[in-house]
Amino acid sequence: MTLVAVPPFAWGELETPFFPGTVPNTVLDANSEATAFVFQAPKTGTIDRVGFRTATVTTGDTVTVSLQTVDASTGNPTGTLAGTNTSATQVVNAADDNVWFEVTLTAGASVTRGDVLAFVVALPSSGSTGNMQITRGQTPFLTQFPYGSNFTGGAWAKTTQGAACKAVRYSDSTWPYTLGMTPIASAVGSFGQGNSFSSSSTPDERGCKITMPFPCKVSGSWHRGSGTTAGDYTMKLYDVSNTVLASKTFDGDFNPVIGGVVWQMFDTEVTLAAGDVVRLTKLPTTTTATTLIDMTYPTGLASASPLGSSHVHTFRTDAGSWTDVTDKSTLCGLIISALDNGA
Amino acid sequence: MTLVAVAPFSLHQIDQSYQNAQTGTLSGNTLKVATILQAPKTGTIDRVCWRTLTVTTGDTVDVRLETVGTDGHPTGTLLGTNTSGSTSVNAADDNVWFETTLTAGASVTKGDVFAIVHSFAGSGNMQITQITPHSGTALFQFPYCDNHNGTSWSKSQQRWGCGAVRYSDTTYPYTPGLVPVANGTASFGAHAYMSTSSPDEYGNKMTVPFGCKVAGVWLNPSGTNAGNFEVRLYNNAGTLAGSKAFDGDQQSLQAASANWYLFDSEVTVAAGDVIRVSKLATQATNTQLTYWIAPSTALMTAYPLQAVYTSRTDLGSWSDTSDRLANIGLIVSAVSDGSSAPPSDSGDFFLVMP
Repeated sequence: MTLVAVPPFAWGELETPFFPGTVPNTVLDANSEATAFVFQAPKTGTIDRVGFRTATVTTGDTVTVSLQTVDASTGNPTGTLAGTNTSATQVVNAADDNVWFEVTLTAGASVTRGDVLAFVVALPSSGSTGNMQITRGQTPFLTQFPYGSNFTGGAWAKTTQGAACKAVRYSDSTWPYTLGMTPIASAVGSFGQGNSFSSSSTPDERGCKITMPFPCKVSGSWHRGSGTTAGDYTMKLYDVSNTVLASKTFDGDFNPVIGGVVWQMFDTEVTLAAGDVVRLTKLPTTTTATTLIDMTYPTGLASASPLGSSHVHTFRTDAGSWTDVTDKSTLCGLIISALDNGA
Repeated sequence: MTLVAVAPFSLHQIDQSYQNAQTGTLSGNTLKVATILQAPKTGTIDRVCWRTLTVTTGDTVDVRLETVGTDGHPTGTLLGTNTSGSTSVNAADDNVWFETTLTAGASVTKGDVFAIVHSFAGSGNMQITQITPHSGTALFQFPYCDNHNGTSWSKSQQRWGCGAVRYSDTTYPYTPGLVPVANGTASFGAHAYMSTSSPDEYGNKMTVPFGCKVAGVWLNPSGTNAGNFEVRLYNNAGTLAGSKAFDGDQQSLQAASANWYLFDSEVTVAAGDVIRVSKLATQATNTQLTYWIAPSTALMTAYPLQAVYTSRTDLGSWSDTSDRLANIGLIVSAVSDGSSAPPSDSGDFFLVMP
C-alpha cells in the first residue's frame, strides 16, 4: 500500500445537507399542488419504497407519492409514472407535524443507475382539504442538478433548492445514499440542531465515531457550528483506545459574524488504516459555549445519508465513557490529505 | 487493488467552488484588509501573493504576516522579525496580481494560525480582491477575512482572500482561505458554448493520483443556459469510458451553483492514469462551464483541483492550457482499501508521502 498525497479535501462535507434554523419547506394547500425532487437513480434495481417528511401540518389529507418521468423540454415531472403503478397514497393527519413517512409503492420502479426521475408528493386533484408543509432542505452549496420543483399556483416552478429531505429504498432492503437526498427523522429536534455546550456542560465533548472504509492520511477536520458562540475549543482525533492521535486548540473568536463551515488543520497528519475506528470531537476548553450541529436519521436510514452509517454521533462528559448513537451523526468529519494509490 | 465503496463524494468541488469577486477596500492610511488562515505546511513563507480589483489612487502597499489575537483579529505584531514587505501599486493597476517578497521569511509550522494584512501609509485608494468561496447557506467561519474600517476590525461573512503564499522552496501550496486569480477581469471566467461553437467541448485533463471508481462528475456552471449536453470521461487510452446525456432544461433556477451528474456505470481508473472529464454541448443552444486562470503555471499548485483545462472542437484534437482550470471534476464512489499485497523485495512497503 502506498499513500499518495492529494490536496486536502473535506470528505463528505459538501454533500451533507444543511438545515439552518428555519427549515425550508414547501406548502401544499390546494388541489393538485405538489412538490418534486428530480434526481438520478443511485443504482440499478427496483425502488420499492420512498421516504418523505412533513413539517407543519395544518390540515391533513391523503397525498399521492409517485416516481415519475421528467419532461425533457421543461425539466419538470411529466405526470407519467416511471413504471406501471410506481405510486401509492399516504394519509397525513393534522397531528403529523414533523413526521417521517415511508411509503411502499404499489409496484416497484425498475430503474437503471443514472436514470433521471422525479419523486413527487401531491395533494388530490379534486376535493383536497389539505394544508401541509413538506420538508425540503438545502445543501451548503446551491445546486442546479439535482433540483426541486413545486407545482403551486397551477404550474410547475423549479426552485433553487439543493436538497430534499427524502430517500429511496430498493427491493434488496437497502437505502442507498442518493445525491441530493438526506432523510431526517420525525420530531422537531431532528434537524441539524446547533448544540451549544461548554466545559461545564453535560456532555462537554461531542463529535462523531467513524469506522474508516479506506486507509488515508488525515490532515485536519471540518465541522459546522451554529451561531457565533465564542467559546474556545480543541478539535481532537482519538483512536479506538482513546489515545489522542491529533489535536488542535482554537480560540473561539477565530470566526466571523455568522455560523458556518470550519476547516481546520492539525499540526501533524495522522495515518489511518481501513477498519480503524476513530473519534473526532470538539471539546470546549472554557465555560463559554461553543456549538456543533447534529442530525438524526429515521431508524435504519443512516446509510442514505452522505456521511453513511459508518459515521455516528458520539459524546461524553468529563473525559468519561463514550456514548454512541446509531442513526445520528454530527456535522463534522475528516480533511483527507492522502489516499492509497491502489498499486 | 481492492476498491471499497463509499458514499459518492465530489473530490475537491467545495474547495474549488469560488464565486464572485468581492472587495476589501483600502482607502487612506487607516484601513486594512486581512485574511486569517493556517499555514498549509511547515517551512518558510518568503512571498505573499495578492491581487487588486479597482485602483483609484495608487500607493505603496505594506504586506505583513501578523499574529492573531484572542479576539480573532490581527494584533499588529509581526509573526516573526521583518515578516513584511511592500509593493508599489499604481492607479492603472486594476485587477493585477502582485507577489510581495517579505524582508525576512516567516518560519511557520503546519497549522499555525496567522494573518495576512494589507495596509498603506499614504493616501491611496484601492480595492483588494477577495473571493466568495461558494454560494449557499454554509458560510465559512474559518478561514475568514477581516477588514479594518479605520476604527475597528470587522470580520466578514463568506470571504476568502484572493492570493497565495510561497515557501522558500519556491512552491505555492494549496492553502484553504486563499485562491489565486490571474490579472484581468476575464479571470473569473465562464464559457457559454453550444454544439456549433468552437470549441464545443470543455473540461479538464488530470493525472489520477489514486486508484478509484468514478461515479460521475461535478461541475460548476454559471447562468441557466438550457442547452443539452453530455458529461464525459475519457480514460488513459483516450477512449470514452463514462458518459451521460442530459437535457439542459433539467436544472434548477440557481445560476451560480454546483451540479452533480452520475454516469450510467462507474468507471475504474488507476493511479497515474491520464484522463479527461468534459462537458460536451450537444445542441445549438448554449450550455455553460466556469473556469479559472492562474497567475502563472507555477500557481496551479495553489488550487485544490490538480488538473489543466482542455478543450476541442467536433471531437478533434485536444488543446490543453497549462495555467487554466475548468470547474469540473470527479465524483468518487470507491477507493482502495489498501489491501494489495506488499512488494516482495522490500520490508518497508508502507511509504508515506510527505
